[in-house]
Amino acid sequence: MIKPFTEDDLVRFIYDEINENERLDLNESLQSNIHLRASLEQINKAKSLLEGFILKAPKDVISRILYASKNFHSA
Amino acid sequence: MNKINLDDGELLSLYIVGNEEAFEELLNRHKNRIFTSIYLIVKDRYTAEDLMQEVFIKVVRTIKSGRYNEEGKFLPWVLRIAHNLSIDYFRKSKRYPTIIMEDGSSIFNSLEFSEAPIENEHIKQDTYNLLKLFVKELPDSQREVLVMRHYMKMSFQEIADATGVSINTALGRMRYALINLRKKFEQTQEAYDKTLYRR
Repeated sequence: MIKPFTEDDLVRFIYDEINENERLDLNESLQSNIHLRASLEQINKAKSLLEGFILKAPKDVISRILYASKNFHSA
Repeated sequence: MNKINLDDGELLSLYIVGNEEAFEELLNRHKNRIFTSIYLIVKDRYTAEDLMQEVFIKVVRTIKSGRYNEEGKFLPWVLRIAHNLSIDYFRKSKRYPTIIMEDGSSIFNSLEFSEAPIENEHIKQDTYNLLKLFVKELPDSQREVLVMRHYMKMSFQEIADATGVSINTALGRMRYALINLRKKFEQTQEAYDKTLYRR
């Protein structure tokens, strides 16, 4: 019998933190459990919103770091 | 030598023996992810810039003084330093009143996003600006887990250990963070549609 999955298990699933057996069982559960499927869809949507959300590090900060590295003198 | 094809460990080895170009490549490779992680914790552009610099000064000092011993795991090590410094700052800042500038809004709106697609650029930019606001509005505990898992790529077990909670609590916080973000987006979308298609 397949163990019942929780919404926290879905979070582990979308962040690839479940083992192969759990993955197979979860995929099977998703086929038959409409609520579980809806929950997965919701958190997946939120995760996909975050995918492209990366800020650009300011150039002057990067220049200062590179300068500091080139001019570093250990005491 | 083309450094783009080298992995982090190889670049680090080159940097340890004095190759500054290798450090530049490492920095360029990871700068945006590290900056985003810091910014989302401290929620202030100028503080994030200062901390980014502080993180890398620490990185440079550790490597150049021969004290680096992370065996090639460069990014997790830098992110750990970034996280510790950001959390330290964030906790200290909560003990003092925040100074808000008269034109405070510009602080939050002037940051550029790393990947601005040519098509639908304005829509994407609006979406990212909203997302930036919504992430900042999340409760501290949820925002912290979200940043640690999504941007710092820490496992839920590592997050649980670092924040002193159970793995189930860390998972729960992440789930609520994702659900809250989605809800806020849907509410905004509904409000926008109502305004647009008002009878």
